[in-house]
Amino acid sequence: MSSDSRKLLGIFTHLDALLQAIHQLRNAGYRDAGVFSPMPRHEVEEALSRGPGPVRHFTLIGAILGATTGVVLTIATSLHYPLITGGKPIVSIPPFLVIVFELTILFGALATILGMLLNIRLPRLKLEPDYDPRFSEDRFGLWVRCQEDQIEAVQKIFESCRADEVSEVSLEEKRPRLRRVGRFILGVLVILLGVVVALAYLLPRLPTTSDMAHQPSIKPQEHPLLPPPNSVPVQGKERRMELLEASEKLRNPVQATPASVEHGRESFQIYCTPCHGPDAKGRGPVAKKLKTPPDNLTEESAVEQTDGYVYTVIGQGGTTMPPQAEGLAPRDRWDVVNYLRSLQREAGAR
Amino acid sequence: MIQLTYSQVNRDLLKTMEPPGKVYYAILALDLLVLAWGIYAWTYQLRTGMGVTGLNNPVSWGVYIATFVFWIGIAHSGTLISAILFLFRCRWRNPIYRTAEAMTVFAVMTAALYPIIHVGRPWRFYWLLPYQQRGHLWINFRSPLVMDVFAVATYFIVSAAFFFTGLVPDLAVVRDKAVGWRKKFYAFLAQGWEGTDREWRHYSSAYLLLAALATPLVISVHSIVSWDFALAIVPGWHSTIFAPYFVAGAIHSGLAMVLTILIPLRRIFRLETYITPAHLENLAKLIILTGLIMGYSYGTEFSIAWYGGNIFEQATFRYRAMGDYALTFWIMAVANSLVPLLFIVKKIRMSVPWLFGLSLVINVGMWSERFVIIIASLAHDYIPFAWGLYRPSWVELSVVAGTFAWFFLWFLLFAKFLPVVSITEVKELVEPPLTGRVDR
Repeated sequence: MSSDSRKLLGIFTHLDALLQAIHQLRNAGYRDAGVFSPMPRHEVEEALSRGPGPVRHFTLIGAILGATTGVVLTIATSLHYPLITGGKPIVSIPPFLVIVFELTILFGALATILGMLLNIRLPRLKLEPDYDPRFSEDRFGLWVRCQEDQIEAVQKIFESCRADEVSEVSLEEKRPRLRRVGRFILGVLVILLGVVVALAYLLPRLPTTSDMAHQPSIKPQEHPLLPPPNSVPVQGKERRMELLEASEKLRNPVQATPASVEHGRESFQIYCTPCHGPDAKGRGPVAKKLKTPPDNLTEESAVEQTDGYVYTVIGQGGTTMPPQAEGLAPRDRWDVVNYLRSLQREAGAR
Repeated sequence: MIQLTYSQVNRDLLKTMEPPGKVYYAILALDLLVLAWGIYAWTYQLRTGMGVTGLNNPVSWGVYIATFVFWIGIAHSGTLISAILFLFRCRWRNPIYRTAEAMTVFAVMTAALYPIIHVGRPWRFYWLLPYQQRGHLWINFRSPLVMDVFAVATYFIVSAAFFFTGLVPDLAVVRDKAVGWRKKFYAFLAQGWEGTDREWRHYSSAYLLLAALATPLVISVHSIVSWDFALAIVPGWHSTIFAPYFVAGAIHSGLAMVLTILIPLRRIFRLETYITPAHLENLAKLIILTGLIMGYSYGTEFSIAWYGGNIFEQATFRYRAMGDYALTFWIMAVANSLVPLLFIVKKIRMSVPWLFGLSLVINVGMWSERFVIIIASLAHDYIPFAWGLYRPSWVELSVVAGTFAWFFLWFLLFAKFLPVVSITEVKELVEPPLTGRVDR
């Protein structure tokens, strides 16, 4: 665009007059022109001879991307942790296709929106200087760029086509698209997004209770006060202790009776054997998948720890070990400790 | 073609957004009251536990799931009107599609509450999302419940995006007429829309593509919802006709809901010029079609039970028609397959009171259908030892009432904050002003 170019805007009430003006301008060689209209009209699009837009390519790429995401997400995660459910193959194509289909549509639609916004340069916070609020009501606008010496010729065309008004629009230097307000809003949005992403990562790690009976006690390791009559007593919520404190202060309140050891064995088989193995030597079936191998619990270092220490690790988890407090009530954890001690004695005896 | 001028259309349709009167606030207050009661009932359920609902063995899916299916179904006809009729170039849809589409978005927002209420521990709903859980575990993509999450989430996002895309040119109209804080508000919402030929060109192609994507989506969503049931082996659920049967039912109930909403809307806002009896009649004709499909589906279910020779299937269907839930069954059968046939009489489908009354009857019928399918099947499956009865408790009914209030709350806000009839699409129907003296 040369520096001495000008922009003229004609305002029309009648559609046929507008179309005639477009044709005359194009025949006269003015190709840099555009229209404002309150609704889409095919006649205008034809007169400006615009072909099909590029939005459909965005849709296609988005849809392909969605389908690929669906295939990869379903198959890769199923292979990552092969768990047979309902006797179906690990890679079950028919149900996975449903996910693939949904993601195809989702990504296709989002890409369509993105393609539209990019192509029409939206969102925008400021309107163009030649925009007139009547364009959203009942008037058509036709702007055209021309050289300084062509202004009169263009004005003549506009007038011969019964334009209501013809005016020259000041051509501002190309404004920075994002003004300060826009940049500020964008900054806030980015920070918010960061916070949301950070929280989304933390969310699954927040401790949650699985037992609605859990309620805070007044003091640590105590029953909640005043259970209502005829109700079933439940354990109160425990205070979270640091390992060091727990290993010194906590005493095993459960006698290692055969019943306790037997119950501990049952819990151990459910919660501990997948990683630590049935003999507690750290050779469970899941151990092969872990980068840090699970501890051998029959080693000297494990035997030396106090009951309180072992109890707390079971409840709160270790470096890689997930916490088991959710599935094991305090009493069950002490039983597991008792069973583990019996396992350690057995291993030491051999 | 509507015989009006462009500025007349602007004036008439922006009138709906004028400050509301006392009646509006009274309805809003009543709505908020019901909503508050529903929230109270839900918090009571959270604090006390799921025992306060009627859910137990064997009926572990009750009115929560039935109403979930009901609302998802309601949503479907909005997409039918806005996307499918758009693809078929049914221009009569233009004045009514905005309301139908808003109904879709709000109905999905309502439906999505139910699984969260139903699981009892709503703070765990994120377990359904695809992320790596502790111990490298991922969600089970073979489960129809997980497919449901994907389908409903996709449906919500796509229909909300479709709704907003259609709104943008209208928001520009509102922006240009508004003053004060409203001007700033709508200027932000309109995102700088100017109606240039470049904008219209990409907008039109994007709108067409979104409609083309929404059409298969809407069919998939209710099919997937139906597979929540059809993939189980419960007699009365385990059937291959469920997907088309549910999709037709969804559109059936949704069309009735569109009538239920449109009729008061056009009366209150005096939109009789724009939403004419012809529109209502067309909706009624569509209801005849979907009603016939419903009747056919009910017949098919029974004939499969009879012809298939499976005694459990036969027992289930005998139980439906003559057992504990027989009343609900007959409401469903009459309201969904026989009542719509009344619309064959031209006098009835041209009469607004009849249309309104019958649309309410069909809504009740479709809710009953979901109730019958879900509850009557679970209450009475294979082993007589495991049979049981279910009655919704006051908590469940209060929560359901609360979610209806939630839906109408959004609708009340929509009616005052956004143009309920698409201004630009109505203008497309208006004959453009011509000089008649120009030869091109």
